[in-house]
Amino acid sequence: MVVQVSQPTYEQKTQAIARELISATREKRSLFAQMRDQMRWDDRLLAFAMDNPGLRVQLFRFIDCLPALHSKAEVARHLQEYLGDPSVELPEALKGLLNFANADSVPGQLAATTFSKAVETLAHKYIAGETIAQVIKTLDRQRQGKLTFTVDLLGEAVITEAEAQAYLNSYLELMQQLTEAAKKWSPVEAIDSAEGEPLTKVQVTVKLTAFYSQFDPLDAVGSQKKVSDRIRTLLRRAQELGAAVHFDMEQYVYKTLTLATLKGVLLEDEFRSRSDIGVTLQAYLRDSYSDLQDLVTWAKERSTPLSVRLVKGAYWDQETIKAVQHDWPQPVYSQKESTDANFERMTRLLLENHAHLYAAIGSHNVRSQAYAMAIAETLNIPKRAIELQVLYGMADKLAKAMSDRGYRVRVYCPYGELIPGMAYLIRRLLENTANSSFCGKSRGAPGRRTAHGS
Amino acid sequence: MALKQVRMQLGQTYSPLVNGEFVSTETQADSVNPSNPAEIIGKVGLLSQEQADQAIAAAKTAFPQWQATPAAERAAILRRAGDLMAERRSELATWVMLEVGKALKQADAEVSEAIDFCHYYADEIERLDRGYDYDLAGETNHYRYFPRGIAVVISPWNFPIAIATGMTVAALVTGNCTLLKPAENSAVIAAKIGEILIEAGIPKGVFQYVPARGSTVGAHLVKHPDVHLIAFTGSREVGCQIYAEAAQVQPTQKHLKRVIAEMGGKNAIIVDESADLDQATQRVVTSAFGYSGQKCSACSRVIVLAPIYETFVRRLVEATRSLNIGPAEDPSTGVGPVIDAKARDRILQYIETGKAQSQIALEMPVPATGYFVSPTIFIEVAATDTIAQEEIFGPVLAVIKAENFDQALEIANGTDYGLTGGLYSRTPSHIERSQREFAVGNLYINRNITGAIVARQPFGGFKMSGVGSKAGGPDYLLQFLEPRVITENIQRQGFAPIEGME
Ligand SMILES: Cc1cc2nc3c(=O)[nH]c(=O)nc-3n(C[C@H](O)[C@H](O)[C@H](O)COP(=O)(O)OP(=O)(O)OC[C@H]3O[C@@H](n4cnc5c(N)ncnc54)[C@H](O)[C@@H]3O)c2cc1C
Repeated sequence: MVVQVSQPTYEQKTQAIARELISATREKRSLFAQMRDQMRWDDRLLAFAMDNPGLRVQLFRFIDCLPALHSKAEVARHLQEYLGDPSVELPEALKGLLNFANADSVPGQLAATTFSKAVETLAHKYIAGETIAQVIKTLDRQRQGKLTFTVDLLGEAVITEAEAQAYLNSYLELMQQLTEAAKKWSPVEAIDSAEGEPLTKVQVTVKLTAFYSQFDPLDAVGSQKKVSDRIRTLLRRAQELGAAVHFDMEQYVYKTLTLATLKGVLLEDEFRSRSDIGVTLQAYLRDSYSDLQDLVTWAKERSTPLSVRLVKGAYWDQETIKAVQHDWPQPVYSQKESTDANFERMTRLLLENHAHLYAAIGSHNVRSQAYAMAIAETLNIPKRAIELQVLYGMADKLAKAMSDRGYRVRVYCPYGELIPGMAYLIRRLLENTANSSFCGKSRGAPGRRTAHGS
Repeated sequence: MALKQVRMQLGQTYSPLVNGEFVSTETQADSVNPSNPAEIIGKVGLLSQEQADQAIAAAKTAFPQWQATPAAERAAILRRAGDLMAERRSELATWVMLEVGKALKQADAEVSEAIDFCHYYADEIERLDRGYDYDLAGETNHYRYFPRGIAVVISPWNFPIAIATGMTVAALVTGNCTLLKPAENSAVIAAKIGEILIEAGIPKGVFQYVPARGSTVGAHLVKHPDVHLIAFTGSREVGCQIYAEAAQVQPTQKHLKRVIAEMGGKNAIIVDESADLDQATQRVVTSAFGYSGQKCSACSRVIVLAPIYETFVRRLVEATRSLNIGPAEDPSTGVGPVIDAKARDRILQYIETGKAQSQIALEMPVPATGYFVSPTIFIEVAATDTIAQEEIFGPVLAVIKAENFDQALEIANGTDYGLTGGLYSRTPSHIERSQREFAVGNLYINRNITGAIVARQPFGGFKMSGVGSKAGGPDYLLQFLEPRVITENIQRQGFAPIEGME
């Protein structure tokens, strides 16, 4: 069923919802700025990074290499090398901290300790725990706040077959422990059921390419076979335990093969009637709209719904650079506005096909979420067929405001150690300190996004 | 698709092209598929010494005309050749894959490189052809480049289309009459280059395809008194020999020969304490085992800082173990065959030597058919061990531990060679030091050390890695040219126009 509703209807409602969300999430920015000197170091680092682009680059480069360093003296030495770069104008507070002559000295050690602690605290804002036990505590807290979750294991690149097998095993173990813990959870109406139908309490998110160390789109047949074997094991176990599984979308080179592999497995008799599985599409890709159209057709044929998480896409810089270096056509839009507009087009197509696909709208952009809500409310879309998603630590207030409005909100919770989690952490830090994040407006409509949750 | 078409053409005979004619020869050699030696890629006619002399004579006859051809016209032929290669891209890549056992993706990249050479050197000759003018009142000074004469190109099998094309078109576009003598193992692809150049409009005698035995007829060409220039890529042993022989002035010879030789390396990657190990491990594996280590730029030593040695080695071995070994045409293959039985036996000999001197950390079973050698890793290798000093040109990697960065640099520089090198580090001062102190022609920081791109990474080394400046760079064509300065006094009876004064 495709319902035709004219665009202006959505637009008015979108703006109204966005305004409400904003007033519910507004940070007191002036106070925030005044407090800067009393803030903890982790917050101060973020504030410095936002104020000074040169410092931001050096700071994040330093953070990237920090967990690889093996002694305080090394940390102190790198700190000076990165932040002492002439391109960086240091705030007084940092100058003071870096003013040591010898990396082995007491002031050097102090600087190393202060920074390492601050980065650790920073990491814990976006990483929901280092171990399963810790992440379960976080999930408990989230559920009390009426937020459901998906858990993602932060992994280093899978480059050996032992690692690919270990990745699978970790997920089997994770699902086991989460479903075990879930037995003790008291039901939360807002997230555990929809239209009276119970929903799976546990969801995990996986990266498809991590199931085979030699995953290579040029070896489509071989890669698909290896990956499919491991996915079947995962999906079977998930069903036994009662867990839902969602697939992330990674870099563009992997997209076609990722979709083909999942479509293949999900049409097999054994998995054809599973509705607790999801895939991700990235609106920054120029061909993502047609991918969604294909998926709608495919889902109709399959006749059991699948979830589609719609996101903008996390690898914009990487994709852009890669295409430039290889002299390839750009797979991503080059204007942020084009991505935003495509995200809305796709939101609409997805929601208007809610009988065939369940929508999961993954964004921290108030306008993007408001648009989805406007359609959902106009079309009276059943609760089962829509949920709103955010990343852990990226939009706490927005999550609460959306949940208060009656939506099922799912928080994407990554867990794991800092070294393998670094790529994820750096992406979040970049997103959270990008100037556009704070004043990103979309076509004159209110588009202010919540400040980073603190 | 392309594979089917190319397979149907296997086993044909390729004759030398002398003075515009394909000539029949007394001897022939088979070029075979290293993944499956029973499959004959083509039969190649080998030039005799007498035919070689005829070819030189033809080149000599063609030279005045070619020299007088405007640079723009010569450049246009190169661009046409580049376009023709682009049209036949997948077919050519397939030939490369089958004849030298290179994975299709890399074979395809090589065809791109060959095309890039055509276009880049075409642009370059147009730049150089303008020369320099230093005119003043009453006098003009023109600095202009002229071709040297006859060039012999001796090309290797490991980049059978890219390097052969690059050296050949550089010699041609600069106005030299050129003889291409390819390695026997890749003579079929070289014949394809010939087909393309002819179709692009190279006149007869200007380009000649002269497959021949290197040790006899090849050596004869090098010594020939009418040859002006030898462009060579290959082993250090042969390179040094050519350099020495070319230096001997033969009776009737009235010039000194120019030799451009690219001869390999013992390339190292340093993995620093602050390295991103995810990346370092993957890229060391690619650099060491891509095309079975048979690239001049391949990594054969990895120098690892002590604090991360154990962690790195464990992962390196596992990552390499996860590579699929098989025929080049199988898309899942990570490590294909080596070029021939001789190469295989030589590499296996080095592996035996390695076992005697250090500790083997990885060796895997390989297919029985084809010239396969397992990707092999040695650990606890001393910087002075044979396998850490001599070029092996196969899938053998020596892991060396360094106590600190100073020592790492010292080990890296401690061989006869200076071609490529790599550094994985996130320590700004180390990155800076390596730029000054790591003595290699091409230094790659935080990326793989193979896969140089024309113009972006002009390629070539020094020390025992070669003489001559970088292929695909702004100085390359200069080596094929002889500059002359023409000064003219333009005063007549004390009269000359003076610029700026009417
Ligand atoms: C629950 C959840 C799951 C996610 N899963 C995935 C996943 O599987 N795969 C994935 O790739 N990402 C995933 N993401 C991340 C997501 O893609 C975005 O990086 C992130 O959410 C920021 O987008 P936004 O809508 O919140 O913010 P906004 O500030 O509105 O948008 C930022 C985004 O706009 C796009 N953009 C920025 N500059 C430009 C430009 N010049 N031209 C064109 N486009 C531009 C980029 O995609 C950038 O991320 C997920 C996000 C969430 C919330």
